[in-house]
Amino acid sequence: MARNTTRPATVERITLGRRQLYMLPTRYGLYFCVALVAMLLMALNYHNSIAYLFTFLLAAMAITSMLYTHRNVAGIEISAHAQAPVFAGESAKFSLHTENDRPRPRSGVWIHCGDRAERLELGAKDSASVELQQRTTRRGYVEMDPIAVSSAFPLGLLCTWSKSFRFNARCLVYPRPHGRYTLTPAAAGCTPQSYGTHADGDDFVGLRAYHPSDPPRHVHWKASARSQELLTKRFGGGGGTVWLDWDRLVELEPESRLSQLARWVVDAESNGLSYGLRLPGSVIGAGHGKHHRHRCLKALALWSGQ
Amino acid sequence: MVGSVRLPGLRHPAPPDHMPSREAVNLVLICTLAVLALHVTHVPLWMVLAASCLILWRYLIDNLGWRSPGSLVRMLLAIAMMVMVYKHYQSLLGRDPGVAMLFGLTGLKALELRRLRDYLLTVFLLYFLTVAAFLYSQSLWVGGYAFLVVALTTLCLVQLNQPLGAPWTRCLRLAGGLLVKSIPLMCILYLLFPRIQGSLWGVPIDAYGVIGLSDRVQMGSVHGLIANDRVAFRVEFDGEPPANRDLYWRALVLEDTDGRVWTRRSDLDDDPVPETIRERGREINYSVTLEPHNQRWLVALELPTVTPAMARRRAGYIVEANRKIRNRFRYRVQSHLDYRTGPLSRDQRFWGLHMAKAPTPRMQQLVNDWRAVAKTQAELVQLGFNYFREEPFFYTLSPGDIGNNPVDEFLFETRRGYCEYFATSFVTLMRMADVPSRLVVGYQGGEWNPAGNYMVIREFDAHAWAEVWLPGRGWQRVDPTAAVAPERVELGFSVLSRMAQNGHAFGVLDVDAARAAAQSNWWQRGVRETGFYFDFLNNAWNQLILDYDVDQQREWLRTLGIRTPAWVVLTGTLVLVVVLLFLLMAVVMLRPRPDRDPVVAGYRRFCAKLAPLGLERASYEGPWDFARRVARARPDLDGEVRRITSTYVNVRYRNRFAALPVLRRQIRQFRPTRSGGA
Amino acid sequence: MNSKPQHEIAAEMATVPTAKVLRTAIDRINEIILGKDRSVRLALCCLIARGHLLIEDIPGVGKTTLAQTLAAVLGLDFKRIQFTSDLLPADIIGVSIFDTERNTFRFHRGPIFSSLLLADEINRATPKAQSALLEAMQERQVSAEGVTLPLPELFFVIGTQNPQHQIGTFPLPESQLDRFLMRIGIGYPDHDAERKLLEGVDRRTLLNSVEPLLEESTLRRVQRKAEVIRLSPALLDYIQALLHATRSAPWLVHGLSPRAGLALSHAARAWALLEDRDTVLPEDVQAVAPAVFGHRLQYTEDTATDAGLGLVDRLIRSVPIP
Repeated sequence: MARNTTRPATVERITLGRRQLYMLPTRYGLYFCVALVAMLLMALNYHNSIAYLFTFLLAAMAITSMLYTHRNVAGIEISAHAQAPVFAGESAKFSLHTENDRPRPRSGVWIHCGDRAERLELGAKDSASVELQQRTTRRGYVEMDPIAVSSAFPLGLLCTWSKSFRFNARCLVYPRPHGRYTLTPAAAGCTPQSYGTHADGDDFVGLRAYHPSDPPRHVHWKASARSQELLTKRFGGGGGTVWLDWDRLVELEPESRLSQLARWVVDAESNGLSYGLRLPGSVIGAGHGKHHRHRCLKALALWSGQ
Repeated sequence: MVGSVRLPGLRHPAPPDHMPSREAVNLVLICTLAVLALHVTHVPLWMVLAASCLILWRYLIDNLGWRSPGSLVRMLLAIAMMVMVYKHYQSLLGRDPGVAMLFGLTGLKALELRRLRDYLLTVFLLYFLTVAAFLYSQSLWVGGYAFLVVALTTLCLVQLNQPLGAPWTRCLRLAGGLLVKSIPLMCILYLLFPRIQGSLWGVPIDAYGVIGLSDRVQMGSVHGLIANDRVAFRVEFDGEPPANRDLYWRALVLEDTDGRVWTRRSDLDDDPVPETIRERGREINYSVTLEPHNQRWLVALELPTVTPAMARRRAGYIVEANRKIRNRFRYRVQSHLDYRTGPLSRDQRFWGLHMAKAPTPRMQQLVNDWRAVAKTQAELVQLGFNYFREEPFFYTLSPGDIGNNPVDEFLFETRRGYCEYFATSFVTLMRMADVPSRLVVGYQGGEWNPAGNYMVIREFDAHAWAEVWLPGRGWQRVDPTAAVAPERVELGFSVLSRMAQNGHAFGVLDVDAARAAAQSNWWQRGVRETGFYFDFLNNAWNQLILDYDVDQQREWLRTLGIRTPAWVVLTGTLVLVVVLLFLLMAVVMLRPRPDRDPVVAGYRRFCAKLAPLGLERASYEGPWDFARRVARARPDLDGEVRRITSTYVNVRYRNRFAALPVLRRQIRQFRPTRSGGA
Repeated sequence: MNSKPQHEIAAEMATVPTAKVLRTAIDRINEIILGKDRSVRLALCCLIARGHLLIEDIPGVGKTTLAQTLAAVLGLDFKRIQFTSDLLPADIIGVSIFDTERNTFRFHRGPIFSSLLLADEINRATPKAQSALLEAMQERQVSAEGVTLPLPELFFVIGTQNPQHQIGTFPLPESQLDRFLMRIGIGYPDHDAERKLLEGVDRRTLLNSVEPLLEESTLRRVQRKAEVIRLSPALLDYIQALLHATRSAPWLVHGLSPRAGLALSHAARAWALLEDRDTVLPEDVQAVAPAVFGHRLQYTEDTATDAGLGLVDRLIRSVPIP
């Protein structure tokens, strides 16, 4: 994958400083200026000293508020991380972690991402997280959109904003779990002795009450003696493995195949099956559990041809 | 939500507009009421009622779910308001209709507060209206109240910009801090912003009314001033102030009369003869701060011998400013209490003997009796003065009505009155006796303010007395009031009014008894003494804030060494100083708080000394880890770094605070060289 | 090798300073476990801090040997349970058996009544058996059939487990993991150590010849000493900052409990003692933090694969030392 070289370098963590921040009056700041000029003209015309005094008080307040506005934003530390992987079509979630190591709270800070803005309130020496969502369409990694920060605290007369930053956070997007084939032994490559039948591996998984059909060698005699009733050992795991195989889906486009396989992975996991994945160039052995599911789906998400 | 705001030629991320919190909305309404309260004294009553109703309406919409009026209703209300204002003032332009219109608009705006924009515009309007209130009153009280209102409005603005509504304490701290920190900048702007001399556009006549002494006197005309305790002027003496009976503040000389009304001479402008004074005795130097009265006369003790700047002497030993006094005016004068004036000119004799109509027979009889007895004019004057002392005249502040021939009626029938009555009758009698004489109006006495060591002269100190010309002595003051009620002249009017409060009649007690009669109880004394402090504050306020104008600015700049306060120079200085102050504030406000802990601060300094060598301590790096890393990179520093780290660890983590001085010394002495010696 | 009789050595050690005792013990263990100084120190630190230890690594790197060596050198009463899928709680705790002579039930104590219990492959047992052990670890007492029996005052559990989530294993739930003070790995030996291993005698035979260095009272003395190591307010701030960081870091599934903070402070004290200091330094906290926090924290999915740094190292780097 060729990277666009003109894109600004990504960062892991930024601290907003003077170099990153700009400031201009807001629309309301301009209105306020008009009001100030009117007051000044009034003072000038009537030689009214105290009108001068108050006009200058308000002007000084607007100037001083520049420092407040800057101080409200300067020194915030921001880092970004992707949250859990999502399926294509869902919203990728990124969390922005912001830290304030100054002894005063910061309020009314806005974080702009794309055309959306999220508000941020940070207590003194506190940290806060903001969740940003981003639409996804394709599998693979999705980069976080650049973000910028702005604030018009405290009077709304001045707005400070930062240039935009691109964080090196990326969220994994699994293929959309979609396909017309349900997970059946015929569709997915299964080892014949396992799928659909009563799974009997050789790993002990627990005890249950004895059924007349249980083989006598599975009765846990020691435990039965203690609990006054017959208990049967249950075994599971090992034997029943579903193989989800790329090559069995020849009639589909590659992307559709990936979607189909993703669907099977999801289904197999929720049905508590043990499953493995065969892709051209990689094989993931049988297993189950959250981590296994993630491994399989990640392989599907990042698959890039033979 | 809108992601950004478009500015001309610029697009940048900006906070989106939000809905103000409920608290902020109510605060805006409270604030509006507070600002409108500044204007109730001069805005027509119907407008006050209308605006209050509109704000109440808004409150009911918010809190009781009343219906909000549509835009058509609001439009009609606005038009109705405009028509009413026009009918009331016959204009929509100018100060009064403008303020009234804004007043109404603020009420109307309360009805349509919806978006953040409306709220912010209202807040700006409130700021403007607060400042506009100073066109009507500039007293300390209004100033103080206006400052509170500005603080409240700023609180409003802060609260409006907190989308979720921050805690009150935080908003208060923010708004208060912002205002307090603005004060230095405000002072700079106030002092250095170039003031201009004239007006930008015509100041309406209604800006100033004529206040205080009038140049037309008839029996009963000073009466209006008796109840007026407004300050007329304040005086600071260079040395000891003269006794109360010598404090005759001369303002105007009235020579022309039609028998009832006394006015100034009409041909005053082309008075050719300079009047001379031969002064005697010690001179008195003092500064007068005259409250604006929209006339040109200045007050001075009898008689002024050095004319203040920007003023000139006029006939009758009075002083007139070059322009009407519309701002508080401070000037220095010199007077001599003991004086002789020169010969009488023809012109002066003419006016000094001018009679409007023939005297009544009993007046003529009285004067003829005196002339028969008196050998000289001085004796004649003495007889006249004695007449007032010996006949049963009464000093009272509430004389009865007087008819067509006031002097006659007063002299022979009512015999009750105050200074004007005595003075005008006396002058009339003297003129009948061929003694050139005239009426002088001004102020007499004053109240010493121990809080500020100055004298306050109020409108109720207004006084009228007579002046007669005697050969060899020139113009001499004769105050017939002193003959009737010596305490008026000896103790001053404020004592007199206290006597009246205590139920004493005037003119019956001698001076000491009168002083005793004026004794007030502790409460009245307390009020009076507090009053001194308030007046002192007021005076300071006037001199420091209100009277700062072009001249004072120039004078102040001259002390700074700026001799040619050209507009450009002034603006440049202003910008420079503002920028410097701003940078200073930025440094103070934005610097990271220094570590309170001297141990941490010391260790930071140590790390800072190593940082230029490329050995920067990571924030998470433990002290020994760092020391080892330094030792690896610079073995020559090993021993020293190890020693410092060991001391630091002992102080910081083993609570060996006694070693703090050692740590400080070690760090102070630590001077790593840039390149490793080893 | 020392040829003196066991009780003599132990009695001798009772009088020497703690630091020397510990140094000797570490040296002795290092003679058997080659090139694993850090793991050995952490394990010892864990015992001094009165915590239980979980060793997680692939089979064959010497998990069991480490546990056995510790027991042998420290002179602890050692028992071992191999956890299997059919292990029952009674196999750990003990069982009441009807005594026909006295006509009453008599409680036969299980292997848990020992000073050092090695629970091998702890994740192969069913949750029921696991929880029986873990409950005993927490309560330091055993309840069986209405009787509550206290465990010895010195009671350590060293659990071992394989890292991979295999079929038929029962990973310890987070709440149970929390009961282990530390989780350490051992890792492959480095080149020299491995060569020595290959050349040398079998470690197990070496182990048999080890004589205890300490007696129980000495170990208890060491433990008491660790408890009074000074932890200054500045370091408490640091520990709190670390905890706070876990609670706000977006790349972690959840933050740490106050118990984890307590565990960290105990472990850091023990580590400071091992370093022969009377005060905890930030370095001590950083040294034990990966072992104490590692098993209590979890990356959010996917981040784990991208991160170059260890999870706790990353955490430490994000928190400035106050």
